[in-house]
Amino acid sequence: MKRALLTSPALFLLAQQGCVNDDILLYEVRVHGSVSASETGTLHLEFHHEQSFGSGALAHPLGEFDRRTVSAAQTPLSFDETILYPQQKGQGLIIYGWIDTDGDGVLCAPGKPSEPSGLFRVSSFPAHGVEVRLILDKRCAAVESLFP
Amino acid sequence: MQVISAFALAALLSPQVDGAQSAANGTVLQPMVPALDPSLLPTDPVVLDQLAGGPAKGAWGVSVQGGYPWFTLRALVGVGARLAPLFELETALGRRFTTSLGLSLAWVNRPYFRLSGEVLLGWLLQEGEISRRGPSGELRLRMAIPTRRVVPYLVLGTRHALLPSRTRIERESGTDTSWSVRHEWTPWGTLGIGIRISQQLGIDMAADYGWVDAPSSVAIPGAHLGLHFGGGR
Repeated sequence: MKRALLTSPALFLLAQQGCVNDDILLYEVRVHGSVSASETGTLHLEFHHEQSFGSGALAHPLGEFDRRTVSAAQTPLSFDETILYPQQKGQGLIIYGWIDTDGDGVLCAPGKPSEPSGLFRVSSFPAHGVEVRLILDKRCAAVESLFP
Repeated sequence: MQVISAFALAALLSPQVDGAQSAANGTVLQPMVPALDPSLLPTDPVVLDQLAGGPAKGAWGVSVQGGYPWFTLRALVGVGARLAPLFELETALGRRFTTSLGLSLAWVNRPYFRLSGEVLLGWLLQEGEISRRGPSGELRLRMAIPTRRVVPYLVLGTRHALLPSRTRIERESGTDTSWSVRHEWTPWGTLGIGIRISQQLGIDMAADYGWVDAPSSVAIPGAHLGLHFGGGR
Protein backbone atom coordinates (compact mmCIF):
# COMPACT_ATOMS: atom_id res chain seq x y z
CA MET A 1 0.00 0.00 0.00
CA LYS A 2 2.80 2.34 1.00
CA ARG A 3 4.77 1.47 -2.11
CA ALA A 4 1.73 2.07 -4.27
CA LEU A 5 1.28 5.48 -2.68
CA LEU A 6 4.87 6.32 -3.49
CA THR A 7 4.98 4.97 -7.04
CA SER A 8 1.57 6.11 -8.23
CA PRO A 9 2.40 9.84 -8.35
CA ALA A 10 5.64 9.11 -10.17
CA LEU A 11 3.89 6.91 -12.74
CA PHE A 12 1.15 9.49 -13.11
CA LEU A 13 3.67 12.26 -13.77
CA LEU A 14 5.55 10.09 -16.26
CA ALA A 15 2.33 9.20 -18.06
CA GLN A 16 1.35 12.86 -18.19
CA GLN A 17 4.66 14.02 -19.55
CA GLY A 18 5.47 11.04 -21.77
CA CYS A 19 8.76 10.78 -23.57
CA VAL A 20 7.93 11.93 -27.10
CA ASN A 21 9.62 15.16 -28.16
CA ASP A 22 8.53 15.64 -31.76
CA ASP A 23 5.46 13.72 -32.83
CA ILE A 24 5.54 14.02 -36.62
CA LEU A 25 2.54 12.91 -38.63
CA LEU A 26 3.08 12.55 -42.39
CA TYR A 27 0.51 11.73 -45.01
CA GLU A 28 1.78 9.90 -48.07
CA VAL A 29 0.43 11.26 -51.36
CA ARG A 30 1.15 10.07 -54.89
CA VAL A 31 0.97 13.07 -57.17
CA HIS A 32 0.87 12.36 -60.88
CA GLY A 33 -0.30 14.23 -63.87
CA SER A 34 0.47 16.15 -66.99
CA VAL A 35 2.14 19.47 -67.60
CA SER A 36 1.14 21.82 -70.37
CA ALA A 37 4.00 24.02 -71.51
CA SER A 38 5.22 25.41 -74.76
CA GLU A 39 8.88 24.84 -73.93
CA THR A 40 11.08 22.04 -72.68
CA GLY A 41 13.91 21.94 -70.17
CA THR A 42 13.94 20.91 -66.51
CA LEU A 43 10.65 20.89 -64.61
CA HIS A 44 10.91 22.28 -61.09
CA LEU A 45 8.04 21.32 -58.79
CA GLU A 46 7.27 22.82 -55.40
CA PHE A 47 4.75 21.34 -52.98
CA HIS A 48 3.08 23.81 -50.63
CA HIS A 49 0.47 23.84 -47.93
CA GLU A 50 -2.40 26.05 -49.00
CA GLN A 51 -2.32 27.62 -45.53
CA SER A 52 0.64 27.00 -43.29
CA PHE A 53 -0.19 28.67 -39.97
CA GLY A 54 -2.48 31.19 -38.37
CA SER A 55 -6.22 31.44 -38.82
CA GLY A 56 -8.83 33.89 -40.02
CA ALA A 57 -7.42 37.22 -41.18
CA LEU A 58 -4.01 36.21 -39.83
CA ALA A 59 -3.82 32.98 -41.81
CA HIS A 60 -0.57 32.70 -43.71
CA PRO A 61 -0.91 31.40 -47.26
CA LEU A 62 1.49 28.86 -48.71
CA GLY A 63 4.34 27.02 -47.00
CA GLU A 64 6.71 24.85 -48.98
CA PHE A 65 7.41 21.40 -47.57
CA ASP A 66 9.00 19.57 -50.51
CA ARG A 67 10.45 20.19 -53.96
CA ARG A 68 11.45 17.97 -56.85
CA THR A 69 13.23 18.33 -60.17
CA VAL A 70 12.05 16.33 -63.17
CA SER A 71 13.56 16.14 -66.63
CA ALA A 72 11.17 17.64 -69.13
CA ALA A 73 13.10 17.28 -72.34
CA GLN A 74 10.23 16.00 -74.45
CA THR A 75 6.59 16.90 -74.80
CA PRO A 76 4.04 15.90 -73.62
CA LEU A 77 5.40 16.46 -70.12
CA SER A 78 4.27 14.34 -67.21
CA PHE A 79 5.40 13.48 -63.72
CA ASP A 80 4.72 10.91 -61.01
CA GLU A 81 6.03 11.76 -57.54
CA THR A 82 5.32 10.43 -54.06
CA ILE A 83 5.51 13.05 -51.33
CA LEU A 84 5.11 13.04 -47.55
CA TYR A 85 2.68 15.75 -46.48
CA PRO A 86 3.29 17.15 -42.94
CA GLN A 87 -0.20 17.13 -41.47
CA GLN A 88 0.51 19.32 -38.44
CA LYS A 89 2.13 22.15 -40.38
CA GLY A 90 -0.84 23.33 -42.37
CA GLN A 91 -3.72 22.39 -44.60
CA GLY A 92 -4.52 22.10 -48.28
CA LEU A 93 -2.16 21.23 -51.11
CA ILE A 94 -0.77 23.53 -53.79
CA ILE A 95 1.60 22.40 -56.54
CA TYR A 96 3.69 25.01 -58.30
CA GLY A 97 5.91 24.34 -61.26
CA TRP A 98 8.19 26.12 -63.68
CA ILE A 99 10.44 25.05 -66.50
CA ASP A 100 14.09 25.94 -66.50
CA THR A 101 14.64 26.50 -70.19
CA ASP A 102 18.18 27.91 -70.01
CA GLY A 103 19.50 25.46 -67.38
CA ASP A 104 20.66 28.13 -64.91
CA GLY A 105 18.50 26.82 -62.04
CA VAL A 106 16.88 30.23 -61.57
CA LEU A 107 13.40 31.33 -62.57
CA CYS A 108 14.08 34.12 -65.04
CA ALA A 109 16.82 36.70 -64.61
CA PRO A 110 17.73 40.02 -66.25
CA GLY A 111 18.84 39.41 -69.79
CA LYS A 112 17.64 35.81 -69.74
CA PRO A 113 14.61 34.37 -71.55
CA SER A 114 11.35 34.43 -69.61
CA GLU A 115 10.40 30.98 -68.32
CA PRO A 116 6.93 29.46 -68.03
CA SER A 117 5.35 28.78 -64.64
CA GLY A 118 2.00 27.78 -63.20
CA LEU A 119 0.12 26.57 -60.17
CA PHE A 120 -2.46 23.91 -59.41
CA ARG A 121 -4.64 23.80 -56.30
CA VAL A 122 -5.60 20.24 -55.37
CA SER A 123 -9.26 20.41 -54.48
CA SER A 124 -9.63 16.68 -53.83
CA PHE A 125 -7.10 16.68 -50.98
CA PRO A 126 -6.68 14.84 -48.62
CA ALA A 127 -6.32 11.70 -50.70
CA HIS A 128 -3.45 9.25 -51.10
CA GLY A 129 -3.50 9.69 -54.86
CA VAL A 130 -4.15 12.95 -56.69
CA GLU A 131 -4.14 13.73 -60.37
CA VAL A 132 -2.81 17.08 -61.41
CA ARG A 133 -3.06 19.09 -64.60
CA LEU A 134 -0.42 21.75 -64.37
CA ILE A 135 -0.67 24.50 -66.95
CA LEU A 136 2.47 26.61 -67.20
CA ASP A 137 1.03 29.64 -68.98
CA LYS A 138 2.46 32.48 -66.87
CA ARG A 139 5.83 34.08 -67.51
CA CYS A 140 8.35 34.58 -64.70
CA ALA A 141 5.62 34.26 -62.06
CA ALA A 142 6.71 33.16 -58.60
CA VAL A 143 4.35 31.10 -56.46
CA GLU A 144 3.49 34.11 -54.25
CA SER A 145 2.23 36.04 -57.28
CA LEU A 146 -0.07 33.18 -58.31
CA PHE A 147 -1.65 32.36 -54.92
CA PRO A 148 -3.82 33.46 -53.26
CA MET B 1 46.90 5.60 24.18
CA GLN B 2 43.36 6.67 23.27
CA VAL B 3 43.25 8.97 26.28
CA ILE B 4 46.53 10.56 25.26
CA SER B 5 45.24 11.01 21.72
CA ALA B 6 42.06 12.61 22.97
CA PHE B 7 44.02 15.06 25.10
CA ALA B 8 46.34 15.85 22.22
CA LEU B 9 43.39 16.50 19.91
CA ALA B 10 41.71 18.69 22.53
CA ALA B 11 44.90 20.65 22.94
CA LEU B 12 45.23 21.14 19.22
CA LEU B 13 41.65 22.22 18.82
CA SER B 14 41.82 24.68 21.70
CA PRO B 15 45.10 26.56 21.30
CA GLN B 16 43.74 29.83 22.68
CA VAL B 17 42.90 28.15 25.99
CA ASP B 18 46.44 26.84 26.15
CA GLY B 19 47.77 30.28 25.33
CA ALA B 20 45.71 31.92 28.09
CA GLN B 21 46.92 29.43 30.64
CA SER B 22 50.49 29.91 29.51
CA ALA B 23 50.17 33.67 29.72
CA ALA B 24 48.89 33.30 33.25
CA ASN B 25 52.04 31.32 34.03
CA GLY B 26 54.19 34.09 32.65
CA THR B 27 55.13 32.43 29.37
CA VAL B 28 53.70 32.98 25.90
CA LEU B 29 53.44 29.96 23.66
CA GLN B 30 52.44 30.04 20.00
CA PRO B 31 49.77 27.54 19.00
CA MET B 32 51.35 24.45 17.50
CA VAL B 33 49.03 24.55 14.50
CA PRO B 34 46.51 27.08 13.18
CA ALA B 35 43.14 26.90 14.85
CA LEU B 36 40.68 24.48 13.26
CA ASP B 37 43.08 23.16 10.69
CA PRO B 38 40.88 20.98 8.43
CA SER B 39 43.38 18.14 8.68
CA LEU B 40 42.85 17.98 12.43
CA LEU B 41 39.08 18.15 12.51
CA PRO B 42 37.50 14.86 13.51
CA THR B 43 35.08 14.98 10.56
CA ASP B 44 34.74 16.96 7.36
CA PRO B 45 32.56 20.06 7.34
CA VAL B 46 29.31 19.72 5.43
CA VAL B 47 30.26 22.44 2.97
CA LEU B 48 33.30 20.42 1.89
CA ASP B 49 31.34 17.19 1.50
CA GLN B 50 28.58 18.86 -0.45
CA LEU B 51 30.86 20.76 -2.79
CA ALA B 52 33.58 18.16 -3.20
CA GLY B 53 31.56 14.95 -2.85
CA GLY B 54 32.47 11.66 -1.16
CA PRO B 55 31.37 12.21 2.45
CA ALA B 56 32.40 9.84 5.22
CA LYS B 57 30.10 7.05 6.36
CA GLY B 58 27.01 8.38 8.12
CA ALA B 59 27.63 11.99 7.15
CA TRP B 60 24.71 13.53 5.32
CA GLY B 61 24.07 16.88 3.81
CA VAL B 62 21.56 18.93 1.87
CA SER B 63 22.41 21.81 -0.45
CA VAL B 64 20.09 24.47 -1.76
CA GLN B 65 21.68 26.58 -4.46
CA GLY B 66 19.76 29.36 -6.14
CA GLY B 67 20.68 31.94 -8.72
CA TYR B 68 20.35 32.73 -12.39
CA PRO B 69 19.40 30.67 -14.27
CA TRP B 70 19.96 27.54 -12.22
CA PHE B 71 18.41 26.36 -8.96
CA THR B 72 19.60 23.09 -7.44
CA LEU B 73 18.56 20.89 -4.54
CA ARG B 74 21.19 18.26 -3.71
CA ALA B 75 21.27 15.61 -0.99
CA LEU B 76 24.11 13.22 -0.14
CA VAL B 77 24.61 10.54 2.49
CA GLY B 78 27.85 8.66 3.03
CA VAL B 79 27.61 4.89 3.17
CA GLY B 80 31.28 4.07 3.66
CA ALA B 81 34.51 4.00 1.67
CA ARG B 82 33.79 7.62 0.70
CA LEU B 83 30.87 6.46 -1.41
CA ALA B 84 27.57 8.32 -1.22
CA PRO B 85 24.25 7.95 -3.01
CA LEU B 86 22.93 11.33 -4.05
CA PHE B 87 19.72 12.92 -5.21
CA GLU B 88 19.56 16.05 -7.30
CA LEU B 89 16.72 18.22 -8.50
CA GLU B 90 17.72 21.03 -10.80
CA THR B 91 15.72 23.62 -12.64
CA ALA B 92 16.48 26.46 -14.99
CA LEU B 93 14.02 29.30 -14.44
CA GLY B 94 11.28 26.81 -13.56
CA ARG B 95 11.02 25.69 -17.18
CA ARG B 96 13.67 23.01 -17.47
CA PHE B 97 13.80 20.32 -14.81
CA THR B 98 16.22 17.47 -14.28
CA THR B 99 15.68 14.94 -11.52
CA SER B 100 18.58 12.57 -10.93
CA LEU B 101 19.80 9.81 -8.69
CA GLY B 102 23.49 9.04 -8.56
CA LEU B 103 26.62 8.02 -6.75
CA SER B 104 29.47 10.14 -5.52
CA LEU B 105 32.89 8.65 -4.79
CA ALA B 106 35.96 10.45 -3.50
CA TRP B 107 39.03 9.22 -5.35
CA VAL B 108 41.52 11.46 -3.62
CA ASN B 109 40.88 12.59 -0.08
CA ARG B 110 43.80 14.54 1.38
CA PRO B 111 43.58 17.21 4.08
CA TYR B 112 44.02 19.98 1.53
CA PHE B 113 42.68 18.37 -1.59
CA ARG B 114 39.69 16.29 -2.54
CA LEU B 115 38.81 14.91 -5.93
CA SER B 116 35.61 12.98 -6.48
CA GLY B 117 33.63 11.58 -9.35
CA GLU B 118 29.89 11.44 -9.72
CA VAL B 119 27.59 9.55 -12.01
CA LEU B 120 23.92 10.50 -12.27
CA LEU B 121 20.94 9.12 -14.13
CA GLY B 122 17.62 10.87 -14.33
CA TRP B 123 14.92 12.45 -16.41
CA LEU B 124 14.84 15.75 -18.26
CA LEU B 125 11.67 17.75 -18.74
CA GLN B 126 11.58 21.14 -20.44
CA GLU B 127 8.39 23.03 -21.06
CA GLY B 128 7.72 26.10 -23.14
CA GLU B 129 8.37 26.98 -26.76
CA ILE B 130 11.03 24.31 -27.13
CA SER B 131 9.84 21.37 -25.08
CA ARG B 132 12.21 18.52 -24.37
CA ARG B 133 11.85 15.32 -22.44
CA GLY B 134 13.78 12.15 -22.04
CA PRO B 135 16.32 10.22 -20.01
CA SER B 136 19.42 12.06 -18.93
CA GLY B 137 22.80 11.20 -17.46
CA GLU B 138 25.85 13.01 -16.25
CA LEU B 139 29.48 12.35 -15.42
CA ARG B 140 30.98 14.90 -13.10
CA LEU B 141 34.32 15.72 -11.50
CA ARG B 142 34.49 17.72 -8.29
CA MET B 143 37.68 19.20 -6.93
CA ALA B 144 38.17 21.22 -3.77
CA ILE B 145 41.10 22.71 -1.91
CA PRO B 146 39.82 23.14 1.65
CA THR B 147 41.59 25.58 3.91
CA ARG B 148 40.68 26.77 7.37
CA ARG B 149 37.29 28.26 6.56
CA VAL B 150 37.22 28.52 2.82
CA VAL B 151 36.67 25.77 0.28
CA PRO B 152 37.52 26.84 -3.27
CA TYR B 153 36.02 24.32 -5.64
CA LEU B 154 35.66 23.42 -9.28
CA VAL B 155 33.03 21.22 -10.91
CA LEU B 156 33.36 19.90 -14.44
CA GLY B 157 30.58 17.85 -15.94
CA THR B 158 29.33 16.38 -19.17
CA ARG B 159 25.56 15.97 -19.37
CA HIS B 160 23.71 13.98 -21.93
CA ALA B 161 20.03 13.66 -22.69
CA LEU B 162 18.32 11.40 -25.18
CA LEU B 163 15.28 12.99 -26.76
CA PRO B 164 13.06 10.48 -28.53
CA SER B 165 10.80 11.51 -31.38
CA ARG B 166 8.11 9.62 -33.23
CA THR B 167 7.33 9.78 -36.94
CA ARG B 168 4.11 8.29 -38.24
CA ILE B 169 3.56 7.93 -41.97
CA GLU B 170 -0.04 7.43 -42.94
CA ARG B 171 -0.06 5.36 -46.12
CA GLU B 172 -2.93 3.89 -48.07
CA SER B 173 -1.91 0.47 -46.74
CA GLY B 174 -1.77 1.59 -43.11
CA THR B 175 0.32 3.64 -40.72
CA ASP B 176 4.06 3.07 -40.30
CA THR B 177 5.64 4.28 -37.07
CA SER B 178 9.33 4.88 -36.59
CA TRP B 179 11.33 6.30 -33.70
CA SER B 180 14.42 8.44 -33.69
CA VAL B 181 16.55 9.77 -30.87
CA ARG B 182 18.35 13.08 -30.73
CA HIS B 183 21.30 13.57 -28.42
CA GLU B 184 21.58 16.75 -26.39
CA TRP B 185 24.96 17.54 -24.87
CA THR B 186 25.47 19.99 -22.04
CA PRO B 187 29.04 20.57 -20.92
CA TRP B 188 29.14 22.09 -17.49
CA GLY B 189 31.58 24.08 -15.35
CA THR B 190 31.24 25.68 -11.95
CA LEU B 191 33.94 27.64 -10.17
CA GLY B 192 33.25 28.89 -6.70
CA ILE B 193 34.08 29.28 -3.05
CA GLY B 194 32.47 27.54 -0.11
CA ILE B 195 32.59 29.03 3.37
CA ARG B 196 32.40 26.88 6.49
CA ILE B 197 30.20 28.44 9.15
CA SER B 198 30.23 25.35 11.32
CA GLN B 199 30.66 21.65 10.79
CA GLN B 200 26.94 21.38 10.05
CA LEU B 201 26.45 24.62 8.15
CA GLY B 202 28.08 26.39 5.25
CA ILE B 203 27.45 28.60 2.26
CA ASP B 204 28.91 28.94 -1.19
CA MET B 205 28.93 31.31 -4.12
CA ALA B 206 29.95 30.38 -7.61
CA ALA B 207 29.83 31.10 -11.30
CA ASP B 208 28.11 28.50 -13.46
CA TYR B 209 28.70 27.85 -17.11
CA GLY B 210 26.23 25.37 -18.50
CA TRP B 211 26.10 25.17 -22.27
CA VAL B 212 22.77 23.51 -23.00
CA ASP B 213 22.60 21.75 -26.36
CA ALA B 214 26.19 22.54 -27.29
CA PRO B 215 27.60 23.34 -29.74
CA SER B 216 24.54 24.43 -31.71
CA SER B 217 23.29 26.90 -29.11
CA VAL B 218 24.53 29.88 -27.14
CA ALA B 219 25.72 29.36 -23.58
CA ILE B 220 24.27 31.59 -20.86
CA PRO B 221 26.65 32.09 -17.94
CA GLY B 222 25.10 32.11 -14.50
CA ALA B 223 25.85 32.48 -10.82
CA HIS B 224 24.42 31.14 -7.60
CA LEU B 225 24.45 31.36 -3.84
CA GLY B 226 24.15 28.16 -1.86
CA LEU B 227 23.28 27.00 1.62
CA HIS B 228 24.60 23.67 2.89
CA PHE B 229 23.55 21.90 6.04
CA GLY B 230 23.81 18.38 7.36
CA GLY B 231 24.58 16.05 10.18
CA GLY B 232 26.20 12.78 11.12
CA ARG B 233 29.52 14.51 11.60
